[in-house]
Amino acid sequence: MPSPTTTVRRFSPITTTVIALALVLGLVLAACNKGTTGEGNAPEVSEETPEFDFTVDKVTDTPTQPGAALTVKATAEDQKVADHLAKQLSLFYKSAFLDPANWKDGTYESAFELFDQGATPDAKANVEVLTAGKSAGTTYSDIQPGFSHFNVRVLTGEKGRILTASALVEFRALATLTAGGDRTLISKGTYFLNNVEGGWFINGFDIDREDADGNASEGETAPKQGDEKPKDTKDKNTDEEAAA
Amino acid sequence: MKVMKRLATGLLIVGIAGIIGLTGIGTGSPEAAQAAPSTPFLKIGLAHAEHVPTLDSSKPIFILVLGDNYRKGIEASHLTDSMHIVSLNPAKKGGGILGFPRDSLANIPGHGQRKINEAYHYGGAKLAIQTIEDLTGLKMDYYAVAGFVGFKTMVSELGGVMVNVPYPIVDSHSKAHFRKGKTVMTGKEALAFTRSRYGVPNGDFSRSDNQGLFLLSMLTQFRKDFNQDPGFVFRWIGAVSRNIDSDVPMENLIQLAFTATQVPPNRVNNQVVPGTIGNKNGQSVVLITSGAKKQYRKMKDGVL
Repeated sequence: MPSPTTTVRRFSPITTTVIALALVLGLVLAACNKGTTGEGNAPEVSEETPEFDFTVDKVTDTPTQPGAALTVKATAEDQKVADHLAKQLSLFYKSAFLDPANWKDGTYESAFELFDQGATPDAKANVEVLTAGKSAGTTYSDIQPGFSHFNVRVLTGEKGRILTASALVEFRALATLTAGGDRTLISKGTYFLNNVEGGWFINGFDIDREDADGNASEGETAPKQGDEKPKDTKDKNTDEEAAA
Repeated sequence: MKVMKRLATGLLIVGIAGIIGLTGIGTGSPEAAQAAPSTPFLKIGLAHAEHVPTLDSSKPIFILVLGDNYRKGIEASHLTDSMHIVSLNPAKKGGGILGFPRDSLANIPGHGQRKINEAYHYGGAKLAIQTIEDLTGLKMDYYAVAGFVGFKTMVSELGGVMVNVPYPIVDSHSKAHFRKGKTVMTGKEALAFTRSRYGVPNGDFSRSDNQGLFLLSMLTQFRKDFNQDPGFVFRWIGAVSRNIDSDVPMENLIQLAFTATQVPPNRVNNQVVPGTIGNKNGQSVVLITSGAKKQYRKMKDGVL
């Protein structure tokens, strides 16, 4: 009975080299592919809130006592309060724009805790203006802080006691759109703050949003999309002294 | 053998094509391939939000605003040649300004029938308030008294006030010289305008009307300043409180100022009580007529 014969097919050396090269290339291809595309393989976005703190640019003290000047040099107490307000509003902007736990869900309860009772309902009603927005989680894949400006004005009474304060703020953040590209989130305006039992809370606000697609650097002016402008958009005069 | 060769060649092409596709070789420079898609900086829309800490009371607020003519070395008396009830209804976002000609005859408690401007001279703000309350039946919440210097300084510290002068005024007594139309008045000009009774058509009635117009012009400018920069509210509060004597607690003044930002000037009527010219002990006086009662009634809810 003839024994079964096994036929061994041999490739030429050239063919073997080509196959080996193709396999190596295939592996390289797979490795490259893994690093750049595919679900679960997207570049990792940190779940941490980015570092952000306002720095006080200027403090203006407006006295109310008879005989006092229009404005006086900011005192150490004014500066202390200004620094405190900067901390409070930094906390607000972190909660409203930068904390992924908030913007990914579109809920900003921790931000609204910084408003006093009277201002909270209007603040919540204006969530789209005061925060990254309810749909930020689907619109953006990342939000990082940009430059900011922070000026404080205090109204002072007898012996320089601070009666109330306001902060003129400009905040910018660069948001990465899930659809591709960037958007600069721009929040500008005034917050009024009142000291209630040792804590400063926002009791008033007048805020504009001037978001723009693209990466806007400081001072850059964007062309408008159409001529539409909200009725109450305001032309801010930020230099009180110049107008005096 | 041929099949294997084709397979190997195919794999090679796929591999190379993959690498080309991933690195961008052949489609441009590596730098261009790495750059993010270039997006123009384009505003996507503007939005605005605001909330001001106003008084939320539906109760109207009444303030007696007085102008004291006392000048050291010139005028020894403290006659209030300007007397107005200024009201504000936070809920209705409206108000009123009701002026009393200085020669209006009124009962001044403890002093009988006299010119109304004497009340402050005899008993300060307290007696002036009592006289006005007895006359109108309206309860004053606060008072504010401006002297010549304080008024001028306040207007100057505000950078002047824009007034739409209703007619040309030339008055050598008050030194008021104005063309009809809008003008930004300095402190000195504002004082001349609000004091003028010779260069105006109806003497003391027109003067009182112009004083009310000036208050209304202040409201217009206050709102304009606030709209340009909300932080200006502190400048206004400072200018008023440094130069005007008042019993409005600072906390309430701040709230009143914010409330005023929400009141359009066209929701504030400026009127003067009606009257006729009479005579009392040889002195010319204004006899307030019954039409004033309608104004007092109307003003009860703070909107004239």
